[in-house]
Parts: sequence; structure tokens; C-alpha cells
Amino acid sequence: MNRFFVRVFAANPLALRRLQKFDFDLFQPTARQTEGKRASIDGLLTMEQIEKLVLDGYQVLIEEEASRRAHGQKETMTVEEWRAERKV
Amino acid sequence: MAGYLSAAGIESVIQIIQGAYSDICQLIVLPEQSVEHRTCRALKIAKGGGTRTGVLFVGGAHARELINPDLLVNFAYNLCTAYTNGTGLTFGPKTYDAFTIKLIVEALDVFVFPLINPDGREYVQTVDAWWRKNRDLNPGLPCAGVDINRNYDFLWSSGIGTSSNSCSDIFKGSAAFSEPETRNVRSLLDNFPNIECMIDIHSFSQLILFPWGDDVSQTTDPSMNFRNPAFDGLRGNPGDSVYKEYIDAADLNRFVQVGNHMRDAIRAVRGRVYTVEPSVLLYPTSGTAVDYGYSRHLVDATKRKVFSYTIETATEFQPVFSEALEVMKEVEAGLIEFCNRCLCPVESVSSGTGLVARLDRMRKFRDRVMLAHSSGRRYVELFDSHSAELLSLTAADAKLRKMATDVLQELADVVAPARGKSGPIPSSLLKSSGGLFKAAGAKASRELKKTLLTLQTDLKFFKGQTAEGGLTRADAKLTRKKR
Repeated sequence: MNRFFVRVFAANPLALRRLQKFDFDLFQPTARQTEGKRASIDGLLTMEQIEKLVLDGYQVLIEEEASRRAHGQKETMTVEEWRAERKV
Repeated sequence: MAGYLSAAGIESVIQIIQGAYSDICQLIVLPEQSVEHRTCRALKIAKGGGTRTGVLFVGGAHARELINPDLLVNFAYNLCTAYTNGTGLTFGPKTYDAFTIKLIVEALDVFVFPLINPDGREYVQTVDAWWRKNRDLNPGLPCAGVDINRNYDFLWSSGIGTSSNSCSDIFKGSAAFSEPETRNVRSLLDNFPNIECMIDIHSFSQLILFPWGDDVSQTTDPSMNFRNPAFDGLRGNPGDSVYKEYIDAADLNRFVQVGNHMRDAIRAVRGRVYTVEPSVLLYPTSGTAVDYGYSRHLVDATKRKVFSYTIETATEFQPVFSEALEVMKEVEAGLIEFCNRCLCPVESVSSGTGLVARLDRMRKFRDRVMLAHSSGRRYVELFDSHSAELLSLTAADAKLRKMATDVLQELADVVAPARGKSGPIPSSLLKSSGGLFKAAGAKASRELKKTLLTLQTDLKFFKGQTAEGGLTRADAKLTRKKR
């Protein structure tokens, strides 16, 4: 199932904390107060999860399909390459 | 081709660094294997012995945050290489000179545990790029994995910012320290009680975070704290006024000051500004390494206070590697700065003398008496801001070092006497202090010379006074100046 990097907007910080009840993959350190009393948090969600949040009154900005940011499987280095770069 | 190392690669590189720099690197095999039976290793980087402050860096707790274990092995390698070659370290336009590197290696024990959660990293690089937890199969539960950074023993049972659902990415586990990965971090803190500074490195958001994470903090009511059961159920709502977590004002000040120094070092590399703030933000947590590290001394007074931080590096979990290299540079500068701020000239000068046994009482004097006075806070700040130079001066000049030891000995007799109450400051101490300031000033930078002159002038406030009386008189001068 595809996942998406998103930014979830809540009406206020309390509404943001209420997101915990969903047990979704939201990134705590990204929680921020935005303009006025509004608050936002980034996360990694499926389309089904996004729909649930929207139905519950949250705004969700879809940033990117997750696989586009997965550089850790493609850009790798062997120990030999690490050694060669440093001449160890 | 440059890129992220595998879990096995990180472990191999740790051993390669130790082998290449065996005179300053010690391999520490952690007592427990990971859930999938991988051996976990850390490095201790240090030259020489004696009582020294320990600094601990840990990373890789959250599997998908790939950049940080690579960052930490590069940091360890760069530190060892620079020390061995007698050079400084340069991160873009930011440079630390050879003497600073020498001081760090010779006056601190630097512990680097780059990959707490090797099973998770393996899973991320081969199966699911966005896996966060460890790979505990959680027998009897529907999903695998425990969030390592919700499994420490800090308000673990409160449920604040954690989940009891094994399918959640913030599943806290079956008990505090239920996971071997968290127990390994605890074992480092237990087995190396000299560790006084710690950073747990995560991604992402460009943040430097310090305690507390469960609620906003306050410095006025010590009874309102995480150990007090009267407040159970009231924590974890940062917007309300019902509960605020107590933190010692002097500690809070240090967290902010040191955090700001790290921020400035990071910014100097390529202009990225990391925000320094308490970790609670808008979204509280419990069971985290940062709060556990700092809370240990409050739970058990025999344990040393650990000034613990979380750094949230970068703006994504797995940046393109060319960008990851830039992030590593800037954060490494922050880590060197952190080491610098953990260096203590008093501890260094006291090493090998009878003063070591009295350091705790002297620290108490600093925290309880000096920091309660505006002049005292100013002296402490001046001292901290010149600590690296003071260390280098006393390390390079045996006569100056002896003078400093004598002054400290006499000062300890006054402010931390073996028996009875502290008395008035003897004129001999004022005279020897003046002599020390003058001798150090002759070899100091312009800034330090200026500071030493100020201190020399201020000695008059302490004539015939107790230390506290002198500070009160110095406070009055500061107040007059402000007017």
C-alpha cells in the first residue's frame, strides 16, 4: 500500500494532540504552531488514513509519495568503499 | 560510490577505526545482543587516564533515520585522525584548532555508540524503508517492533506520547527497558559513571532539544515533579496550567547556553539554524533517552547528573547522500562544540590531587550559592566561556597549573570545608588568586585577559567577607552598573 509524506493541520494545539488517538505515524518533533492558533505536524500516511483525518476535520497536505524519499536503499556504500575513500 | 553504510558496515567500521587508532580507541562490546542476535559495539576515544568527564553520543535508535549512524562513525574517525595527525578539524568555514582536538581527546572520555538498533537498520535497507522500531516479534501481540525511544524508564507507565498498541510506531513495549537495545544504553551510563554529557541523535527537524518532554517546565516548585504521585494523570498537557515539570534553574540555564553554542557552531558551517528548545514542543512524550538520561540523578542521588540532549538532524529521514554529507559536516561541528562545553578546567586541574573528592561539594557551592547571585552567575558564565583556553593554558604550563591547584585547594577549604561552616575568605587566598589571574593574564588572549582583569578588580569585594558576603557586595556593583 502506498504511503505519502504529509503535513497535517489542526485548528489548535489541543486538536493536534488529539491526533494521538489514531495511532498514525506522525513525527512528534515536527509539531509546530502555525499562523494564529493553528498547529501542524508531519507524518507518513496511507490514503485511507488521510481520508480518516479529513473526515475528522483535519486538513492534510500531501507532499510526496514515500518511495521518492527512500534514498537509504539505493544510495549505499560498502565497507571497502568507505575505507578506500579514507585510505584506512 | 558514496552512500549509507549497512548495519554490518557500521559495525565493521567501528572495528576498523579501533584497529587503526588503537592507542586512543577502545572497543566496548555491549552486554546484550540485539533482538535478532547482532552484537552491538561502541567506541571509547580517550588518551591518558585519571578522573575525566565522559561524553556519550548515541544514534540509530529509530531505524529509518539512516543518516545518524553514518554521521557518528565519521565523527569518531575524524576525531581520531585529527588527534593522531596533530591537526584541527574543519567543517566548511568552521575550524577547531589542533589544541582543541587534543584537549577533547586528552581531557574527556568520548563514547560513541553509533547504532543502537542494528536489526531495524537492516530491515530498512532491505525491506521497509520507513520502519522505525526495533525488530522484537512481540510474542502474543499482532505486530512486531518496539519504539526504542519510548522504552526508557521515564514516566514509562504514564502513556504520555506513547502507545500500548504493538502496531503503533510509538509502541512503548511490555515494560520499561523490556528491549535489549535500551538496556545497552543504560549499561553504558551505569558502567561509565563519569558520563556527564549525552546526545541522542535522531532525525528530522533541525532541532536541539533538552528536558523535559512530558510537559512544559518550571523552576519554582520542586515538589511538582515526575516522581510525585500526587500529579499522576495530570501530566502531558502542555497548554494547561495544572502541571509543569520542575527543572533546576541553573541546569535549565546550562541546557540553553550549551544548546545555543551548538546551534551557533552548526550555523557557522552553512547557515542552517537549528532551534534550541525543550523537547515537549506541542506534543509531549515519555520513555525517551533525553529525559531518562537527565532524570537518573533525581531518581537515585548516587548517580551523576547527565546533561542530555536530543538533536534532530536534517530535514528528512534519508536525504540524498550528497546532502547527507553536508548535514554530517554541520552536525559534527555541533558535536565538537558540545565536547568543548563539557570540558571542565577545575576538574582537569584537580586531577590526581586530593581536590577530586571535594569536587561535588564545590559544584554544590557553585549551583546553590554562586548561581543564586547575579555576580556569581556572571563569574560562572565568564568561566564557562573561557574554559577551553583556561584548559589549554594550565595544560601547557606546569607552574600555572600548580598555582591554580593551590588556589582551588584554598578555595575548597573556604567554600566546601571538610567540617563545619564556611568562614571568611582569608587574605592569603585573595593574594594567591590575584597572582594567578595576573600570571594567566600574561599568557591569555585579549578577551580572557579582560575577564581576568575584571576578576582581579572584583577581589576587593571579598576582603574580610564570606564567599556569600563577597558575592552580595559584587551584586551591588553590578546593579549600580546597570543603572
